[in-house]
Order: sequence, then structure tokens, then C-alpha cells
Amino acid sequence: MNTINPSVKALGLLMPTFFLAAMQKPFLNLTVFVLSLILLAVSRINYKIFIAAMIPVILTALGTFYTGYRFQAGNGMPVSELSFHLADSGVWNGLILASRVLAFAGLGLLLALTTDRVRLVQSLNQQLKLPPVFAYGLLAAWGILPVMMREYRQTRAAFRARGLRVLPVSPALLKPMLVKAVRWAEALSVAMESKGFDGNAPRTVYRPVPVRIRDFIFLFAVALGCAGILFLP
Amino acid sequence: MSEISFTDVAFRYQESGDFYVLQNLNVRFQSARITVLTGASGCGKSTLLYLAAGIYPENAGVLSSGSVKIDGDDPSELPPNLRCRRVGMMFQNPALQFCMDTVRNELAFCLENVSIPREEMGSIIDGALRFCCIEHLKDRKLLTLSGGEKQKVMLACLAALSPTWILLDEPFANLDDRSARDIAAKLGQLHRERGTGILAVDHRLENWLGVADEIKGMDKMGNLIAEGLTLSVHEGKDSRDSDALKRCSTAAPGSSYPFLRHKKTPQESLPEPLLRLKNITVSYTGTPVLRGLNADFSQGKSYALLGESGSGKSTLFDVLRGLAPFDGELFYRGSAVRKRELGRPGPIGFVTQNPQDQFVSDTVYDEILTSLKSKAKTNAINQKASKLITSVQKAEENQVESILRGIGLWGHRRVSPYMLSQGQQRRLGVAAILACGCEILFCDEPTYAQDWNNTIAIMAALENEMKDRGTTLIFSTHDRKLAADFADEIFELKEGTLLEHDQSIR
Amino acid sequence: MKNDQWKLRDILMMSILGVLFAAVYLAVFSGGMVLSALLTPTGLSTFSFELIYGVWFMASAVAAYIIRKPGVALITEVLAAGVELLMGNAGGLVVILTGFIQGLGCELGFAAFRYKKFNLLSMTLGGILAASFIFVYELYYLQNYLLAPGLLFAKLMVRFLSAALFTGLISKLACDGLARTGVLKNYGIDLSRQEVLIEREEE
Ligand SMILES: Nc1ncnc2c1ncn2[C@@H]1O[C@H](COP(=O)(O)OP(=O)(O)OP(=O)(O)O)[C@@H](O)[C@H]1O
Ligand SMILES: Nc1ncnc2c1ncn2[C@@H]1O[C@H](COP(=O)(O)OP(=O)(O)OP(=O)(O)O)[C@@H](O)[C@H]1O
Ligand SMILES: [Mg+2]
Ligand SMILES: [Mg+2]
Repeated sequence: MNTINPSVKALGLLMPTFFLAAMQKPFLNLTVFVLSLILLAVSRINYKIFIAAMIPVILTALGTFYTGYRFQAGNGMPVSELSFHLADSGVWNGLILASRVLAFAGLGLLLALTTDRVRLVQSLNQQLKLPPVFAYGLLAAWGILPVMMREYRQTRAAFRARGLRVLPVSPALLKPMLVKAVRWAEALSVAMESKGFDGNAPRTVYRPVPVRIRDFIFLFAVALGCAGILFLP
Repeated sequence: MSEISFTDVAFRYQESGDFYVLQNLNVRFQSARITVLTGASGCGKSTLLYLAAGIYPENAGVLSSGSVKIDGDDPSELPPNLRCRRVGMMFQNPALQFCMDTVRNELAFCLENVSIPREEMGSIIDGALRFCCIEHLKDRKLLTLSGGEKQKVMLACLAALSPTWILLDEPFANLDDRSARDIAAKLGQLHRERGTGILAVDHRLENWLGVADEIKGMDKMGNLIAEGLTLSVHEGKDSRDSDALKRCSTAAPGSSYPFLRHKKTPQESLPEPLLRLKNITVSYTGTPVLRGLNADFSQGKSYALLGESGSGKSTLFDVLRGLAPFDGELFYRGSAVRKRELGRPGPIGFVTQNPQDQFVSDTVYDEILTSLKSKAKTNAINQKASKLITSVQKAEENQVESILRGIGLWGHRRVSPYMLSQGQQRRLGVAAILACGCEILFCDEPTYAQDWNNTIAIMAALENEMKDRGTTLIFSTHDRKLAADFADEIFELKEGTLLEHDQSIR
Repeated sequence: MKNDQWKLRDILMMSILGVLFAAVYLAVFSGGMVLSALLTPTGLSTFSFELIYGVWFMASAVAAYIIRKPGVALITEVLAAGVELLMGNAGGLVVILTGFIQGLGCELGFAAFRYKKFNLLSMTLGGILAASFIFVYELYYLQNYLLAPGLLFAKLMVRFLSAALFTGLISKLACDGLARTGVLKNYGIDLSRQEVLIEREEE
């Protein structure tokens, strides 16, 4: 998965996402989820990040399941023959909702964990013609995330040290962060422009993101899979 | 030979109003001479530099008359991809000047911007890295680099773009002396080998010894009052030049700080240390920053903390503020301090490396008032007499006035702390913490990026506090001279532990 | 505004706000997770996320307040979604679509006043519209129509409340505080000019 062109990969994974959205087949959802996990397992990924990302996914799925289980709509839903062993349609209801969360998460993680973000943005710029200001603006902003985290902790500590109690999203705490955000935007834009960046000027490409035969094969395989789903009982 | 010229320049930030930062300014900078521009904090040095780089008035302010030219062209009218071949800039904050993830990608980004053909990029990138002696960093993530390394990468970007001029705005403020000298030397080499014009704004001239050809100075009002000064290694040898520098609120390299301190000798200290750090260990993502650090701090003494950038000075302070997870023990007056009590208002106060990190209020006035209130509250809890608070209120208001007058900010009391200049913010930060009435003060680089007069004013305020209330002071700094002149004891942070300096360095 | 052209600075501002609020959202999200775990036995766990839903529209509202140009609210939300995608968001690729839908809601809140008003009313309206748009979308996309109508209604109300609180009130207060500091001068928003006077001090 790591070597597929990022834009193609994004499109390829978007397709089944919308396909699944149009159906309500929990087992299909679960199959897609398991498939994603298998693909993740054979790709080069960072397992720490994977586990960190899976925890909220599983919790959300559980939460959704309970909600669906407890609060099903009065008129119920069509019970297909596949569900014969699930006597309680509340369970079924919850399963539909929860399995979908898992399937989407699986597809999303497949993209996020096997793609280098710089390559993704460059590919969006080169293949899908995303304007460079957006591409590089996004990257620059992403790059100062650690600075941001540090500043946020500093700001909270400052309030604590003066004996002021504040909630994590209180306006008092947000204001200093916003002041800094304005400053960062100014500093970064000045720095980028002084390195010659101009959103409208032509630019050359150091490492083009290639589109290769295997990318088309991937896209074709996914499309085939989606078509296959249609013929499933 | 290239020239930057300012002709009758008048510049202000507000569209209306008559506060001109620069007025009737006429000055020329020649690429044949490496020039350092100095002057009091807030006098308009950065403004001048940004005008020369064509960043202003495009991004802020109004150039109400006059013109800025580089060899006859107005830099602000050139499109960015042409302008960067004329002037490159290196900024004060190393963290906020990159847009990619790795060093190689950042360099490639620069070259892509100016449409260098792909085949040539590889060799230009390698050449630039080799020039800065940072080939080993080629595929490192920018985030994992220290401040000094980031500035070297920035220099590599400039070397790759190879502009006619390189402008620098206090490029060394976040660096230790060794990295600063390395970079200054590289700039000198660029100048010699490629004829690159160099114009730098800096308060501390030590790092430019042997590199700068000329010093120009501005006064408080933004007028150019000194030109053609040179740096001499021996203090007082060229008194004409050091007097001229004094008028620009800058000191000649090696000048002593005029502190009339009575330094305490070790015998005078109390037997029981006020604060004891035992076996403090901190690591970030597996790499240890502090390894089993031990230290004792006694009442009423001042300690300087030296160390290269990235050696962990701020990390040590973060431990005491409850910001960094750590192993080890802390004792205050002999009794152990629980970890979750760190960072609460109490006997330990902090001045952070960046003054903006500690502002909590909307106005300068409230900033001080908050501190006084916090102090009153802690006292009230201690004395179990919360009724007193209201009657104290009036007295506090008078106190705010005297504090603000003391630091020359009474006139600014109604503005937001963020609107003050760098130097003013720093003074306010120190004053706000002093108003808390702490017994131990930790100051992270209290004189960072300050001019000479401000440095003295800040240190004098700390000195007074120590004399009046017996406060203990621990401050980190990159300025060895300041440490030697002001501290009773000097520690150096090296490889995660504190080494006590022997007295001979003074 | 006299100049509707976006500058690099504006786009950076939008992206940075996107990153900032993505981080805030993640922090609040883990808080919501704890709440959700506590509520799970009662089956009310979905409400915990409804409560904080408004945080997600804050990036849009704040960016629009600062930059004050048409389209800012929409694009900020999409950029924020892009950031989330890069972070490895659990929702997967659809975040871009949801970002677009939410941003559109916010955008309409400001467009309704022809980009003349950036106040509590327009910000709240933006938040409420965003909340309703995304609600309709989730009805189909997450098949929320399978849920009991009573619950759906309750969810919507909680979400509105959250939008009004976070996107409206808290954003507005934070933005006004921001404007008063004077750093928005470059954006032509300077509330401080009339109010604050610096006095010359005698030495
Ligand atoms: N963006 C701005 N808007 C309004 N006023 C500003 C702005 N930037 C600077 N000023 C004011 O202009 C004056 C000159 O500022 P400048 O940053 O050029 O000073 P400086 O000489 O570089 O000082 P320092 O040594 O502290 O960096 C100061 O009084 C400052 O308050
Ligand atoms: N939150 C963090 N996460 C990971 N690494 C960190 C973090 N904070 C600091 N570090 C690392 O710890 C080391 C010590 O940093 P610290 O800021 O304490 O240095 P310093 O001595 O204060 O430097 P300076 O003189 O530049 O202020 C650095 O290598 C830095 O990269
Ligand atoms: Mg400056
Ligand atoms: Mg530090």
C-alpha cells in the first residue's frame, strides 16, 4: 500500500466508502474492516500510532452499538435472511451502526498510516491540481503543531501559576492561543515569501509523485470489488 | 558591488496618527562591508530590515514618504520568486520559518520556488549542506533539530538560493555562543567567497568579533546616530567607539556589567538548603535530557545556569513548573514536595523564556493586579484570615501604580500586554512575578534579546528583590559575562547533569 | 472588505486555526470519551459528543471573524478536515466531505448578513446551520434514521446548544479579546484604537 500514488489511493478508498454508505450490510462492513486490517498488516506502518488511533475507534463503535441497540426507530428495519440467528433486532440495529464506524475507520487508517503526508499533499497538487498555496499552507501549518502543543501547555501553566482556574476551552485561555496563531501565520507567510514562494508563479518539481501501472491496477481492483458487492445476495 | 539605500524614509504602523517609527532616514549599506545595526529596543531596527527585505509595507504599515532601493529596484515591488534572489532573510525564531518536514524537502521547496531545473537540484542541495557542515542532517525531520541546527538549515536555504544580500534579525537570540560563532563565521565565508552583502540587527556584538566590518547605531527615536564604528577586542581601547555604542544602548564586547553586588561566599550560606533537587531524570521519547540531576539552592543567593542550547535548561524549569514528567525527588525547606503541587501558586515563581507565555490578563494593569491578588490569597490561606482580603484591595491598587511607574509602563497601563515591544514585555513579565512575592525565582533567560539598558534594569530589579526580601534567584543565560558578574554560583548543564563551575572563570 | 483576494497569510491563518482546533477537539474528545464511558450503561453515550460538537465549528467562526472575506468559513473547515485526515482521523476520508458540509453551514451564517456582521448573532447562526446540515447528512450517512425520533430530536437540540455555546458565545468572547490586544491591526480590525490611549510618561 505504501507505494501506491497517494491521490489514486485516496480516490480508490473513497469509492468503497461511499458504496458502503449506501448499503446496510453489517457483515460486509466487517469484512471491509478486516480487509483493511490485513492490508495494514502487510504494509509498513507505525504500530504505535495504529494502536493509538484504534482506541477511540473501538470506543466509538461500542458507544454507537449501545445507542443503536437501545434506541431503535419504532418501525424497525427490514430483517434480511442473513440475520436469522440474531433474534433481537436491537442488536442488529446496533451492529449496522457500529460496523459502519469500523469499516470507515479501517479505510481511513489505511490511507493515513500508509501515506507520507508531504507526498500526499504534493500528489494532490500534481495530480489533482490543488493550488500550491493551499498545499504548502497546509503543510506549514501542520509543521508547527508541536510548537502549538507546547504553547498550549505553557499558557495553561501560566494561568495555574497565578491561581486562576480555567476550563480547557475557556475564552480566557483561547485568547492567548489566538494571539499566537495570528503571529505564527504572519511569521510563516513572511518566511515562505522570503524563500521565494509565490502561489501564482510557475514552479519546478524536485521529486514528482509518479502515477504507475500498479496504481491503475489498484483502482481497477477496487472498482471490481465494489461492482462485486452489488451482485452479492 | 551592491547597495541598499534608504532615501528620506518615513514609516509608521498606523494609517493615521503621528507616531512615526522611522522619519527622515537616509542610509546606505554596501555589500562590500559586513554591517551590524544596533540600537535601543523598540527603536525600529527590525522595521528597517523588513523594509529593506521588501516585506513592509506590503505586510504592515505605511511608507508615507521616501524610497527603499536595492540597486535601483524597489524590493517590495519584485515578485517573491525574483526578490528572494536579491535578499534572503534569517529570522529570530528558528521554529517559525520552515514549511516542510525534512531538511532535504525544505531545501527542495526553496529551489522549486525559483524554478531551478530538477536535474540541478540534487547537487545544489548537497553543496548548500556541505557549505554549512550539516550533511549529516539531510534526511532529519526539522522538528527534531535544536535551535542552532535549525538556524544552520536556514542558512543552507539561503546558501542554496544564493541571494545578493542576506539580512538577519537577531539571528542568535536563541542560540548558545558556539553555534552563534559558527554561523557568523559561515556568513563571513559567504561574504568572502561569493561577495554576498550581509546586514544584521543584533544587540550583542561579541559574536560578530572578527566578522563585522562596520557597526551602525540608532537612537531611541529611530535616528541613525553612529556609523563606521568598529569592534575592538580589548575593552576600553577605543573609547570613542564604545561611548558611541553606549548612546545606542549597546555595549562593546567584553564590557562589565555595573553591578555593585556584595557577592556571598559559600560560608555565608545557611546550612539547610532552601530547595533541593535529587536525582531528577527527564526523557523525551526515549532520549534522556536530564540524567540524575542533583542540586541545592540556598536562601538569598543567586545562581546562574549556563549550557548550550538544547542542553535542558528550560526542561529543568519545566519540571519545577509541573510541565515535564520526571523521576526524582524535590525538597523544599527539608520536606518533600508532591508532584501535583508543582505549578500551583506558591513560594516558587517563574519568568518564562518567552514573556508572552505568562500573560494572563487583558491589560498591563490587570497583569500586575492578578499577581498581587494571588499573593494576598496565598497569604490569607496561610494566616487563615480571608476576611482581610477586601481591606487589602485599596492598598493593592496603590501598589500597582508604584510598580508600573517603577518599570516605566504606567502610561501603558490600559493597553494589552501583547502590544508592548519585546523589551517592555520582558520587564512586565519580571515585574508581575516579583509582585507575587515568591521566595525562589526561576528566570529563564531574563535578558534574552534585550538591549544594554534593559538588561541592566531587569537585573537591577532582581537584585533589589534579593536585597529587600532575601529571595533566591536562579537564572539561565547564554551570556557568560552576565553570569560571572551577577551570580554567586555558576552551574553548567552538560550531558544531563549540573556541573559546578570553578571560581576561576570569573 | 476592500480586498477580497486571499493572501498567503490568510491561508496560513486558516490552516493554523484548523490545526489548533483539531488539537483542541482531540483534547475535548478524550474528555468526551470519559463522559461517554460513564454514560454507556444508560445508553446516553452519544450525547457526550453532541455536547462538544460545537467546538468543531469554532475554527470556521474564528477564521471568518479575523479574515472577514467571503468563503473563509467554508475553506477553513475543509482545511481543518484536511488536517484531521493527515492526523489519521478515525472517520476516514469522508471528513473532507463533512468538513465541506459543516463549513457551508457556517458560511451561510455570515452570508446571510452579506459579510457585514461578525457578531454573536451571525456566529451563532453559522454554528446552528452547520449543526443542522451535518445532522441531516448523518441521518443518511450514518443511518441515524434507524434511531428513535425522540432520541434524534434530543440529539439535535443538544447539538444546537453546543453550537450556540462554542461557536457563538465562546468564539465571540475569545475573538473580542483577541481584537482588543491589537494584533488584528493588519486585518483592519482594531477595536482598541478608540478605547486605549497610551500616555506619555514624564521620566
Ligand atoms: N506590527 C506593528 N504594529 C504596530 N506597531 C509596531 C509593530 N511592530 C513594531 N511596532 C512598534 O514600532 C516600533 C519599532 O519596532 P521594531 O520592532 O522595529 O523595534 P526594534 O528596534 O527591532 O526593537 P527590538 O530590539 O525590541 O526588536 C516599536 O515602538 C514597536 O512598538
Ligand atoms: N516537549 C518536548 N518533546 C520532545 N523533546 C523536547 C521537548 N521539550 C524539549 N525537548 C528536547 O529536550 C532538549 C532540551 O531542551 P530545552 O528547551 O530544555 O533546552 P534549553 O537548554 O532550554 O535550550 P535553549 O538555550 O535553546 O533555550 C532539546 O533537545 C529539545 O529538543
Ligand atoms: Mg526587533
Ligand atoms: Mg530554554
